[in-house]
Amino acid sequence: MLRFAVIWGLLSGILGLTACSPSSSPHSASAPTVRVCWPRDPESLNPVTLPNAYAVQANNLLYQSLLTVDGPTRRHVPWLAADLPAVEHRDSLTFLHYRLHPQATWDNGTPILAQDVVFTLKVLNCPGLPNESLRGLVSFIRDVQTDAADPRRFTLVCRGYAPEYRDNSGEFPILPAYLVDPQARLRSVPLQQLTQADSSVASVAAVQTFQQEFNQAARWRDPRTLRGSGPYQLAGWQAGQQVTFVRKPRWWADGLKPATPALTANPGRIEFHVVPNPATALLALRRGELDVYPNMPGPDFARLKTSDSSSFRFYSPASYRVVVLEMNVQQPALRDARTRQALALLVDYDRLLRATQYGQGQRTTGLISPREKWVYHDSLPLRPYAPAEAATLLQRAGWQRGPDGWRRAGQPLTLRLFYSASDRTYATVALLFQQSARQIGLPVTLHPTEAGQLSELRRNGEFDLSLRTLYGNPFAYDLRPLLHTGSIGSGGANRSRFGNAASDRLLETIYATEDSVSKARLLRRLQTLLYQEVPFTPLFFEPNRLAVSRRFAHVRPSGLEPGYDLPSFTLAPAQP
Amino acid sequence: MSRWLAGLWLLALLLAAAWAQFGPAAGQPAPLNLEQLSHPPSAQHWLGTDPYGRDVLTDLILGTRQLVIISLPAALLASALGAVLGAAAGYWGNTGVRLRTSAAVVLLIGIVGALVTEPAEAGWWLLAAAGLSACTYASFLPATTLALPLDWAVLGAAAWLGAVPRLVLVLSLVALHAPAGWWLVSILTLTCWPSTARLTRTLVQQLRQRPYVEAGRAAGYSTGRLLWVHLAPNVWPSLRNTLPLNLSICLGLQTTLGFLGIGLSPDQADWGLTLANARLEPGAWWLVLSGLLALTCTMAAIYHLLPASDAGLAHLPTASTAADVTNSQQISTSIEQ
Repeated sequence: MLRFAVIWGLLSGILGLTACSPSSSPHSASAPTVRVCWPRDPESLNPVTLPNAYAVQANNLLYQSLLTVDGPTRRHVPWLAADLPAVEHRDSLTFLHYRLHPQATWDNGTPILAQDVVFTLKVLNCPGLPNESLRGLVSFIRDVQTDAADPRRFTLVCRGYAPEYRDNSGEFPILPAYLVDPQARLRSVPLQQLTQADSSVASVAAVQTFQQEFNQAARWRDPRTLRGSGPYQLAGWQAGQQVTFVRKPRWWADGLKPATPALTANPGRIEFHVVPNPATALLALRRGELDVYPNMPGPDFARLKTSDSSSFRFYSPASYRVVVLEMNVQQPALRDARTRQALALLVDYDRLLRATQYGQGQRTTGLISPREKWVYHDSLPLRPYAPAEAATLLQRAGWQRGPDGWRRAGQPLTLRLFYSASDRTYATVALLFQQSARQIGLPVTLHPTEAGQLSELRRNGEFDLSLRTLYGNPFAYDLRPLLHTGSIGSGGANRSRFGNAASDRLLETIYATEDSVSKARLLRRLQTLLYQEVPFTPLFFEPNRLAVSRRFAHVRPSGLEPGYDLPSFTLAPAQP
Repeated sequence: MSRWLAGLWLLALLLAAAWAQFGPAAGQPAPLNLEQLSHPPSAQHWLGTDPYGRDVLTDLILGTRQLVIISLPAALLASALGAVLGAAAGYWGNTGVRLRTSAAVVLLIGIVGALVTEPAEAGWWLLAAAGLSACTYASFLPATTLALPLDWAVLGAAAWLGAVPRLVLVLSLVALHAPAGWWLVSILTLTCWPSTARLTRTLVQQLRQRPYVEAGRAAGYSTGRLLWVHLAPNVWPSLRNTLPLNLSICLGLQTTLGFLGIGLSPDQADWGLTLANARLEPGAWWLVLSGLLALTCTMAAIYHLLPASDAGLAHLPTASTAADVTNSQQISTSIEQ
């Protein structure tokens, strides 16, 4: 009996009988239901936290920012703002003049005014809130000047000048004060006091009370609080399983003519199904339980394209998503750049590209996409796969090879490679890297880890090597969150812990440089520095492999995250 | 014939494990070949390749090493632990062992400490408790004693372990510690001993009432001698059947954990991981077939090792068994002398 039980259990697992549970069937033609596959949970829907790309995607259904990116055209377009901001330089300051859309209102019918922008900036600068990443994004905004004559007009006063200011100034979600701070506790606290990082502000009673209220986790799962000016509202969130949004019956942009893609919201219901296992996701897609499967693994995409082209449309636009092998430069064994260079030579880039990307994807020398020819450093050679050269470099770095591996001053060189479990691309990279390292006698242990736990380990620097995907865009080259020493730890995304005074200066100069020729020159210098220092070695840029059910039209695929325009989806006309 | 085949299959597994452990590729996983991902069986790869281009046959052969170094010791340890605990519970019951009150208190604190502390420190708590308990006998502390409810404790622990689904329990315990062979062996041992303990307890409880045991006790034989020389031979025919049963349970659990990707790193060859790779390539039937055939054959071979007439409690000793008669005669002789 036991043997039957074991065999049945194994068969059940293989056949994916525990795949997605059947969900509601797609309904009305005017407001269809779209079911999207997500590989992980968004972790938080708090609009100031946004821990991952899925949280950002969900937030863009609930909240609106002043500007948004139109994926197919790769341009910033007005969203909550009526127009793109007018930019004015005066002395050492930059003034960005905005006007909010005249018809924009909150769900309670009150208009969205400049005061709401001020309130949002107060929240983003308020100490004691989990707002580190967004605070960094708007750190250049010093104050907001409102217009007494027109409550929808306002001017953002910014320190210095950088070309990115115009776009960055419009990328934070505007929050409704009547829901986030119903007691108006922050009204009495001036924005300037918060932006100046005045330590005394944390002890202000109103701020402390606001912190306590804001940080109640239950608030950010409650559809009554989690509500902005976006076209959708949260209908349900089962952590690790499903997040559901439904279209608001009345949205302020419903009556606008002509409706721009940014101000369109066609689906009546959007369901994000969390399916970490790609095989289960593929099975669910084939069974019609999912409609959209973004970022598909290469082999699954190729197979589905061959077998189910009558049911799905396939897109694979080049993306700005690069897979890197990240190295923790603060680990004693990896402090020497030559050791890191040696490790970078143990990756068989070309074979990996063929095996995981199935002829798509593109190799790169750095973080900047080769498509961006004006800044991409094409003079740097693509790094080869050279184990023998890697062994030589290790010796130069002071490591001696013995019968029990590599040692330096008695310390063995053993490395732990962490990556997100259930990701086939990462597993292939990790196994191949381990095999190459074994060839030169270097032991590497593999640690596939759950996504949330992996984020924590990376934040705390508890790894030697890790596989990571970095999401970029062609608009801004502010790499400070990724490479600046100030971004090490929970406040930023510098997980390799790379950086020194010179690299920080270079990053800040790049950020502040207006002239595109100078900017390109500085960015090439940065790419050279990263190529030599190797805080990570980029493996390849992935295409955005996307499969969408043929029931839908107006997918608007693009290389920018999330790679498709969900609110634009409509039901495709019936085939004759 | 079928037992002969079963023995041959298990011998082949042992040889494969020895090759994986001591052969030319000792300690190394099957090599990746990214040019031959998910290839069906061919002359070059008899059982095909997996989604990482590894030869499935090599993977299965290397996987036997994991079975031998994890499931086999775990089954042996679980059987031994179950036999010891069951024998103690059956022989002494709830009143047979008396401890100094102070020693009992120290032991209790040690057990509670071991339960609430980090898994790595649990051993230290128990060791310290045992040492301190021993010290209490050499100290000036009052010599009052209390009965140790061994039977109650063993049955309670077995009932508790039986109440939680075994896989859920194993998954919870695996999450407490980083994947390591010894940890997996400990977990499988901890979760598989109750059935052996219950059987041993029942057998010993019945045997200890027999006249020859009473006679031995009256003759002043030590408890150890009674248990080892007079009770163990009568318990063994029934007890030996539990080893294959425990082995098949450990094998199933280990493979399930490997299938779920828990407890082993992905570069380690394991039958569960081989089966799990089939999920990456639903069309790769050879992965499912190879993995399942190997597992099914092994399970079947283990079950065939069970003597047909010895299953279950068929061997419960009776007064007329030869062993009883012999033992009784020996004891009677010694009393007369």
